[in-house]
Amino acid sequence: MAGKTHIEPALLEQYILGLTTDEESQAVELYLAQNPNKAKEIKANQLALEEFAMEFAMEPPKRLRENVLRSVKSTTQAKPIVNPKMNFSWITGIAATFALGFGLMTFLLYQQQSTLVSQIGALENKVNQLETKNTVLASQKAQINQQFAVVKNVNTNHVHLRGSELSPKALIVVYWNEIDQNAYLNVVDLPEIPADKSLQLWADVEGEMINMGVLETGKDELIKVPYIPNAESLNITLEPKGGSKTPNVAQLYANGKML
Amino acid sequence: MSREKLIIRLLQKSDERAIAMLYDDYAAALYGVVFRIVLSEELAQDVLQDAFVKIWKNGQQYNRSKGTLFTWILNISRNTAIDATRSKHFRGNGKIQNLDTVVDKVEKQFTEININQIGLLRHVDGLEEKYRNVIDLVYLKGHTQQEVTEILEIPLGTVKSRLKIGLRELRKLYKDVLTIFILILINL
Repeated sequence: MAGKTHIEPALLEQYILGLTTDEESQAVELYLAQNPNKAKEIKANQLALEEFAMEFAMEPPKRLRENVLRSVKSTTQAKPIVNPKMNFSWITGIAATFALGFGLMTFLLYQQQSTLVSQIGALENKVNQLETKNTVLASQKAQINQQFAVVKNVNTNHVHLRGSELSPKALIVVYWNEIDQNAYLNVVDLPEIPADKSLQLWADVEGEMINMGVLETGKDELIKVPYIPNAESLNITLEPKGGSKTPNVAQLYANGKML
Repeated sequence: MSREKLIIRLLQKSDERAIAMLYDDYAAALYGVVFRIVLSEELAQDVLQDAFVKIWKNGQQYNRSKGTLFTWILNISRNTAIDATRSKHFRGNGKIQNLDTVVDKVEKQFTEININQIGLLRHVDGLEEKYRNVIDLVYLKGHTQQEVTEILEIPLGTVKSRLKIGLRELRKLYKDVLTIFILILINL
């Protein structure tokens, strides 16, 4: 019986009779938990004693029942923590608070999430716009770089086309590169022309006027024009809308000799 | 679930219905025991009320390892009653009486009451008086064994042996009663 508590039989009797102290009772209860047979015997004794006690029963006055229940109730109200109804509402209260808090939080998070989604949408749009703009700017910059490269190239000649008597203020700068064989115009000043007319550019090669196309004015940038080898001069004439096959020399607006 | 288990469960959950059920089942038995100690109906009622409040307050601590439910509430009631007899109030009222007189008086009173109330069901009459007296004094009235030697004017060794034999006899008696009861149940 190693490890098992030993209990004096006299103590067991005292226990049965309810005469043990709390500590003694605990020791006995521990012993009985380890000795089921003894526990059965003790219980039989207790039941016998109960029977014994029952036989001295005496009916208390009827009102005592109410008094007892009332004093128990007042004890309960003084100690609300042991009242199961209070406990219930207390737990319910906490649960409800949590549920409410959780619900509120969910709602707030949902709102916040919706706001963020729309903000993200707006930002995506903006990014797309900026990307597009960036692409445009990049191509414009590439163009400008290319034109600037032409302008600053040492092989590029700068030729001024000056206005005739018809348009004395007109001034066009021509960038003419014989090595790379490309050409650009910078329209510094040209007079307003009627809506049914166009300005057309011509190259004079050994007395023959070669069509270089209609001038698209109004753009604040260099205008690429065809390079015509052996051009002796460039001339701008006023022609009907869309240009002509041969120049109207009487309507010469500007010209300049190539070097 | 048995009624006793239900009461225990309600008691552990501090459900007031436990007290009402306990009262209906055991108040008469407890009142009888308490009265035999305090010898005053008025005081017995106060004691019983206090006892039920204690049962209520300690209900969550009760479990079956502490013995049967009735033994537990009986111990609380008896100890409350003993405390009451020891209080100044009780002494001041001059209610301490010669123990022999008390025993005689109560025995007489209860023999009458119980024969009237319970009649033939009084099984403990089958227990020899010398054993019954010792158990009564110790178990129901909470006297120490030393006190019993004075009340009954018998040596301590005799008190102890009567208590031991008395318990054994009582158990046999109760077992027989149980057997008869079960036989009746089976025959029904």
